Amino acid sequence: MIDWISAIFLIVGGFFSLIAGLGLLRFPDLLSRMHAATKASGAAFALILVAFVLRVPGWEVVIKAVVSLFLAFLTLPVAAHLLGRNSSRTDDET
Amino acid sequence: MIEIAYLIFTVCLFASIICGLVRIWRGPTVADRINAADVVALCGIGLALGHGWMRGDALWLDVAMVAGLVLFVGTSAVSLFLDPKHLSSKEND
Repeated sequence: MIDWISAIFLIVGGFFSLIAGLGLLRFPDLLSRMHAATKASGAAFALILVAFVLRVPGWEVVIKAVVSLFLAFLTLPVAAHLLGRNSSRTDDET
Repeated sequence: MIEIAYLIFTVCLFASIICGLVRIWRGPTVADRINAADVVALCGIGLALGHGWMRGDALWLDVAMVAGLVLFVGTSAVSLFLDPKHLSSKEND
């Protein structure tokens, strides 16, 4: 039963990752592409980590997954912010 | 059933990687390419986590954590390197 729930979480995570890729490919603007890539990738990472924790037993897995998710949610917006600031500064010159 | 879920997951992530590679190929600006490379690397981390999920091996969680940290350092380093303010302040020194 828990394997089924974990498989559903994994498939939804893969679907969110596919949405991130499609938004990266299809959106017309740089900022909208950045929006699609950052948020959908963060959601996909969180869902894949939930699936991993549900399938692999052990407390250290839960602690490592929480730390990894915290780091990802801390670093993904920072990287996107640096990229957006960079692009907005270079757009003024060209 | 588990194998079918893993197969669907892998196909989704490889399709996302192909979309990111196409965006790297024809991205108009450098920020587009860095962003697409970020997504491709995140899909690689997701594939490592999916492999660990299939095998029931907890080692791949460490791989994902360290790869995420290295990805953050790489993306922020490249985007700070391309920052015009940063470059001009370096030239003034």
